[in-house]
Amino acid sequence: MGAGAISGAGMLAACDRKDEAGSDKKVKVMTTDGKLVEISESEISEVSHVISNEEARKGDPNKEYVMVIDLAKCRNARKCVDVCQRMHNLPQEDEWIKIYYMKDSEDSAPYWFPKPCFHCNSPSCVNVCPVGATFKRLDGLVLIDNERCIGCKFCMAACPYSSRVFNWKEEGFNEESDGLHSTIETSIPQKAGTVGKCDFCPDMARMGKLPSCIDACPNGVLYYGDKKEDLVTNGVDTVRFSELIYERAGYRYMEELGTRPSVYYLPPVNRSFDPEIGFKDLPDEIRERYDVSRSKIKKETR
Amino acid sequence: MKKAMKIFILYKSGKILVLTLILVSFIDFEIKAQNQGGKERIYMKAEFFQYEDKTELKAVLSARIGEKRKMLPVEFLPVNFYNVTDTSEILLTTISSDEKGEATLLLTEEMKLARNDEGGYSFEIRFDGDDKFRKATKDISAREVSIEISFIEIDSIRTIQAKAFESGIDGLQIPLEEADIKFYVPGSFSLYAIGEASLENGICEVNFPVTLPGDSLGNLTILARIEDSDDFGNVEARAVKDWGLAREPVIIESNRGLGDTDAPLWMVYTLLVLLSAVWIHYIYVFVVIYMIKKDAKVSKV
Amino acid sequence: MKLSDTTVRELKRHAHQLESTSTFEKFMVVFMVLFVIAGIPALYIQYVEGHIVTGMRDNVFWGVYIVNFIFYIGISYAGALISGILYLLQVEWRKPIIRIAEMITVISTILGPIYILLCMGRLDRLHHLVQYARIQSPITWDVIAITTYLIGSVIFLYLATIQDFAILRDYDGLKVGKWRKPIYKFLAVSYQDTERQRNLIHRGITIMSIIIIPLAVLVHSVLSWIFGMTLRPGWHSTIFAPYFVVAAVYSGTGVLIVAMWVYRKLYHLEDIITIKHFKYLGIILLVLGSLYGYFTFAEYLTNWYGSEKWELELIYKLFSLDEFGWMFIFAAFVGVLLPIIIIAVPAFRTINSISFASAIVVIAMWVKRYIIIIPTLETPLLPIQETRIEYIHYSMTWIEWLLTISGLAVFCLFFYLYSKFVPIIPISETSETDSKE
Repeated sequence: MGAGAISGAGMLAACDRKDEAGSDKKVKVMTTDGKLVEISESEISEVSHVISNEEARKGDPNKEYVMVIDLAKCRNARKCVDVCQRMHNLPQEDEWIKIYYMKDSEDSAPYWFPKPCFHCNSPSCVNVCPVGATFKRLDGLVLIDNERCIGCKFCMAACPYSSRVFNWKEEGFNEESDGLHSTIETSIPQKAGTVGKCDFCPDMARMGKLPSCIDACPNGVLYYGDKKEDLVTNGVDTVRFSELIYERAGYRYMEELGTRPSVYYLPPVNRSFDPEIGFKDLPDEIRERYDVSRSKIKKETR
Repeated sequence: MKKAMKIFILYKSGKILVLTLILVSFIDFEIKAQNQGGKERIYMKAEFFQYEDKTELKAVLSARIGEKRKMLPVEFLPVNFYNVTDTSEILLTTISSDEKGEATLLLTEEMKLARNDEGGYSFEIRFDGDDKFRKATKDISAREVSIEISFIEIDSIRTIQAKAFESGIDGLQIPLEEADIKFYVPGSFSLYAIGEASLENGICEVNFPVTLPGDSLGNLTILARIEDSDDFGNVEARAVKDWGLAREPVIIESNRGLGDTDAPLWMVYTLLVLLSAVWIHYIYVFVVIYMIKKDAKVSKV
Repeated sequence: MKLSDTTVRELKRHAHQLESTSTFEKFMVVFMVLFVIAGIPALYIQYVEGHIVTGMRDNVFWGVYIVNFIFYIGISYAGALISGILYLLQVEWRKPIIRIAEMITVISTILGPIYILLCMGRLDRLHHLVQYARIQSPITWDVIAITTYLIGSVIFLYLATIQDFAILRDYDGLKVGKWRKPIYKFLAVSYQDTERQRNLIHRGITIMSIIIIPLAVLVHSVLSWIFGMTLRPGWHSTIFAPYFVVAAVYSGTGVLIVAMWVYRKLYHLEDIITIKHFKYLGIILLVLGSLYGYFTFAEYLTNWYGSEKWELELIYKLFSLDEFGWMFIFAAFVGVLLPIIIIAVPAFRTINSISFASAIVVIAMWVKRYIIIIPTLETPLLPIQETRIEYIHYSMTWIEWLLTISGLAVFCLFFYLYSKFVPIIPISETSETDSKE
C-alpha cells in the first residue's frame, strides 16, 4: 500500500467513476499537477472532504463549542500563541490568541490572561458587517469568509475585546498551504486587505481533534468542548463543564457588555507560583510589551 | 599478615579498575559510534488491542532526529510481525510504518495463530535495520479477553455492570480476576471517565451517569476498558443505553435578527418607508423637468 | 428666450469669469494641478504595497482617511441646510450665495466617499456592498443615505441652474468656446421662460429643499451611528447623532463663508456679495457655534463626572498636554470661542475678520473629527500591550498627508472649474432682483 492515497483538492474534481461495485475497477483521476492517470478504485481514499461555503456557514446544530481558561494555571508559556501562528501561517506580528498581563485593581494580584476570540453569542462584529463576511454558525463559532470581506474594518471597531487583526501588507501570505484547501474553516491562507481572528479551528473539530492551542499548552490552562455534551477537556483531563464552572466559579470577561461570550474564565485562585515567572526567559521584544502595564501597576501600588 | 592484606586489596582494586576502564572504553566507543555517523537507535513500542469486533497489534517506531535530537515518529520503515511459540516463528506480514510511526496489524481468524504455553498469543515485532537506523525488536504476548457490558436498575439506582472473560484454549469462558476496568463516556474530543472498579469474580459495577446529557432520547455510549495490562494489553467493549439526560431539540425561533443575514422585519419596513418617501419626491422632480422640456415644444407649436 | 438688458448687464458684471481668465487664476490652477498630480504616486504606492504604508494598524485601524470622509460629508451641509432653509424662508439676501453653497455640497459629497474607498482593504469587492448588503449594518445605511443625498443635491443644484443655462444658451455675445453652447442647450431642457415653466421650476426647487433638509439630518445621523453603535468609550454616546449634525452645519457654514470670501476676491464680486451676507451668515455661525459648544460641554462634563474607567481614561488622554491636549483645546475652545467673540462684538465684524473666524472654524472642525476618532481607538477596553510604537500611537505617514492635501486640491480645482463653466452667481435670480429694483 505504498502508493497510498492521492491528496489534494484537484483530485476529486475530475473523477470518472464507472462502477462502484468490484474493487478492481479502473478509474480516471486528475492529479494536482494536471496529469490524467488511471488507477484501481480500491486505492482511492478521500483525504479531506471539501467543505462548501454553505456548509461552512451553517455548522453543526447539535454542537455548542465552548472554551474554559484556567487563570490559576497560566504562566505565560506562550505555546498556544506559537502553535496558533504556525498552524495558520501567520506573520510574527499577528497574534490571534494574545496573552495579557492583567491586574484588576490596585490591590489585587496580577495574573496572565490568554484571550482568544470569544465567539460571542450576541456578537457585535456580526451585527455591523455590511456584507455578511463574518457570521455566527449554529455550532456557536463566529467565522470570517475572507472571500467576501471588503476590508472596511467595522467589525474591528465593534469588537470590544480587540480580538481581530487586519492583514495590512499586500504580500507575505503563504498561498500554498500544504495541500489544504482554503475554506472558511481552515482560515488559510489569510488574504491581504481582509480581517482575521481566532476561529476555534473548526477544521480540526471535523477530524475529532482539539484546536491546536489546547494541546500545545504545557500547563493545561485551556479547556475545550461541546457545551451540549457538558464535557470539556484540556487534552489530559476531561471534566464536566457545568461542574467545572460551578466548583471553580467560572465567569465571562466583562459580562456587562452583553455580548455573551463562549469563553469562560476560572479565577486565579490558589496559585502555586508567582506570576512573575511569566517574564522569565521571555525574549526582550515580548517582555517589553508588558512594561507600560507593569509600571502603571507599580505606580498604583505605591 | 598486613602485607598479604595489602596485596589482596591492591589485587581487588586493580581488577575493579581494569573492569571500569574496559566498560568506559566500550561506552565511549558506543557514543563515538553514534556521533560519528553511526546508525540511529530505534525506540519501539508494542501494544495489543482487543475490541469487540477486531483485534490489533500495533508497533510505534520513533527515534531522535535532527540537531535538537527530538523524539519523532519514523515513517516508511518495514516492520515484520512474527507469531512465536516455543518451537516456531511464523512471519505474519510486513507493514510499513505511517506518518505517526505506527504499523498496525489486524489479527484475524484466518491467520490461525498459534497459542503459547499460557493459552495466549506471543508475538515478536522486528525491524531489521537499514542504512540509517539500527535494528530493533520487541516481544509482546497477551491472552484473549472479552468484556460484556450490561445495565442494571435496582430500587431506581442505575448501574453499569461489566463482566470480563478469558477465552481459554478449549473455548471455555473463565471469569477474569484481578484486573481493573475503567469506564468512560466518549465526548467529541476525548473520553470522560465515569468510574473505575476492580473485578471480583469477573464482575464489577459503577454508577450510571444519569445527569450526563445524551442525545434527544438520552442515549449515552458507555466504554469499558482494561488499559495497558501486562497480561491482556488493551481491551475495550462498548454499549449504548438511554439513561442519560435527554437533550431538548434545537429550536431556531427566527432567522431574522441583528446578527442574521436577513434583517428584522421592522427594519426592512422602516427602510422602505424612508427610501420611498425620498425617492417619490425625486421621481416627481424628474417628471417636472420632463414637463419643462415638453412645455417648450407645446408652446412652440 | 429673450434676454432683458438687466440680464445681460448681470452676465457681464458677475459672470465675466466664464469668458476671461486672469493670470493669477492661471497661476492658481497650475498650483492646484501640481498638488493633485502629487497624489497619484501616493495612490499607486498604497495600491501596490497595501495599507501598511499608512499609519493605520490593528488598534487605530481608522485614521485620517475616515477623518477626511467625515469632514467632507460634514461640510456638505452648506448646501442642504443653508441653501434649503434660506430658500424656504424666502430670504432675499440668499440669492448670490446659494450656488456656492450647493456646489460645496455636491463636490464634498463626491470627495468624501472617495476617502472611504482609500480606507477599504479590498476595493475589488466593492460590489459586495450591493450584492450581499445587510441592512442591519450602519455602513449599509450610510451607503444608501449618501447615495440618495448625492443624487438629491445634484438634482437640487441642477434645478436651480436651469434658468442660467437657458440664459447662457441664448446670449449670443458670449465669448466662450463653441463646444460649450450645445452643452448649455442640452442642460437647459428647452427652458423658454414661460410662466408655466417658471412655476414648474419653482415647484421642483421647493420640493427638493423640503426633502433635502430631513435627508441631510438623516445622512449625518447615520454617519454618527457608525461610531455610536460600537461599545467604545467616547463613541457609545446617545447624543452622537445630534452632535454630528450640529457640528456639520457649523463646519458647512464656515466653509461657505470662506468660499464666499475667495470668490469675492477672485472674481471681484464685491458689489453683490456684501458685508450684509457675511454678517448674516456670521450670526448663523455664531448661533451654531454656541450650539456646538453646548453639546461639547454637555458631552465631556457627563463623561468626566461619571466614574466609568474607560471614559475617564479617554478624558485623561484628551486633556493631557502630552497627548491630545493641544488639539482638544484648539477644537473645543479656540474653534468655538474665537468665532463667537469675533462675531458677537459689532466692532469686530468685518468681512475679513468674519472670514478669518470661519477659516478657524473649518480647521477646528477637522481637528475635532480627528479628536473623535483617533483617541478612542487608542483607548481600547483591553490594554494595549505592545512594543511597536506604530501600534500604540497613530501618526500620519507622508502618504496620508499627501493624499489629504491632494484631496483638498481636488476640491478647490473642481470648484474652480465649475465656476468657469457655470456662473457662480445665479444670474437669473440676481437680475430678477435687479430689475425689481
